[in-house]
Amino acid sequence: MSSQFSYELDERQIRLLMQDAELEFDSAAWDRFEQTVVTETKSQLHTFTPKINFAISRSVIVPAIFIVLIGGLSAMLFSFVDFKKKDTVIKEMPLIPAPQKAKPSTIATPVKKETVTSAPPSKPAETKVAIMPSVAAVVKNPEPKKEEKTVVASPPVKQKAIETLVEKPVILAVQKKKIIVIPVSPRRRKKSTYEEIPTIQASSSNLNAENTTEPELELK
Amino acid sequence: MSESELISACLKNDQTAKKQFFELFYSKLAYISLRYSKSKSQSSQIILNGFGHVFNHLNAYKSQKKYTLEEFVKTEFIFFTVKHIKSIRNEYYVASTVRAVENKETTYDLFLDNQLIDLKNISEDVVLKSIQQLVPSQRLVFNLHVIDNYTLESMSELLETSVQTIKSNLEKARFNLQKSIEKNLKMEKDEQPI
Repeated sequence: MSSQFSYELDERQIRLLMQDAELEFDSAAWDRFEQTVVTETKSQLHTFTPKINFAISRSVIVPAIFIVLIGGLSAMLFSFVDFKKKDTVIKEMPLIPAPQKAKPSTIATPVKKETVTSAPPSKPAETKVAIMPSVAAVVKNPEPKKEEKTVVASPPVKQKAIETLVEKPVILAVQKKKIIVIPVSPRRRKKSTYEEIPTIQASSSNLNAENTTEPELELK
Repeated sequence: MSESELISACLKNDQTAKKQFFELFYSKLAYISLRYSKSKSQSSQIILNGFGHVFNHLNAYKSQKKYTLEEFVKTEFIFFTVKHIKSIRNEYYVASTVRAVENKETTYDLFLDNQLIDLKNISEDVVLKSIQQLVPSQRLVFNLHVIDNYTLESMSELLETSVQTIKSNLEKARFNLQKSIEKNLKMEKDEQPI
């Protein structure tokens, strides 16, 4: 609009002119109105779809749509990122033992074995662990047979033996080592002298000829 | 038939009462529709649908005591007309932003032919024609505010736009209306036989 524009219209006059103005009645208008009403009612009867009008303004709908979109996208992104795993890693880090502290934990193993002995003897795995050193002890012991008998015959004795073995774990380990270290070398086997077995010389080739005293079976 | 009897008969779907009601308010409502629409064909469509809207909302008249029957019918009809014009979106929104450029060189210099145009004595038809030539958004605003005495706030609620937009549309409408009135008056004078 130009700056030189001056509004010269008398709005009050225009209002008076237009407010009271009327059109001449058209008789055909009523017929047209009736026709439109009839067609509208017919179309309404045919279409049973209910008209739902929500009086929600644009200023509400548009931000709501944006919020939903942003929320959906952020939810998608969160689904890709797993925060729980990170937490577990952080928790596990202090639990990792230092290399210097590892050795005492291995020394402390005999204490664990005590707990194993306290368990009922019916468990096969525990008995095996206990028996293995006892077998080693048999190898070194000058009286092996007696020990074996005690182990097999009475379970309480076995328990006692296990307890004694558990109390001295270091010795058992040494005995094991000794067993492993003494292998029989194949050269010694070659050097070992073979004893010659004396052959028995038969007096006669036919043995049946000498046994004449035996009664013969009578055939019917 | 009294006013209340007429309304109750219309609510009972009495065709004679409806015809009477139609005849009673047709001339006024037809002119309102002409003011708000761009052409006669559009106004005739608005009249038919607008009367249907008024008949459907006659129930609301009984429950209120704010308006007289004429005022109630007029406000309901204007409400429907505004919604109808706004519903023609390609016309309402595009025309308010884009204006076709004509090749013809138009001059609105009032003193070009040494002719003085008196804007205070304008005929009804010229004003109506000039209003119809306005862009839909400007036409609505001018009709509502200047002729039908709507406040800016009530217009912003009805048109679902801000008061600032209405104000700017009103300013444009005033400028364009004056120019189109000048143009139409000039054309009228030229067409008159000597």
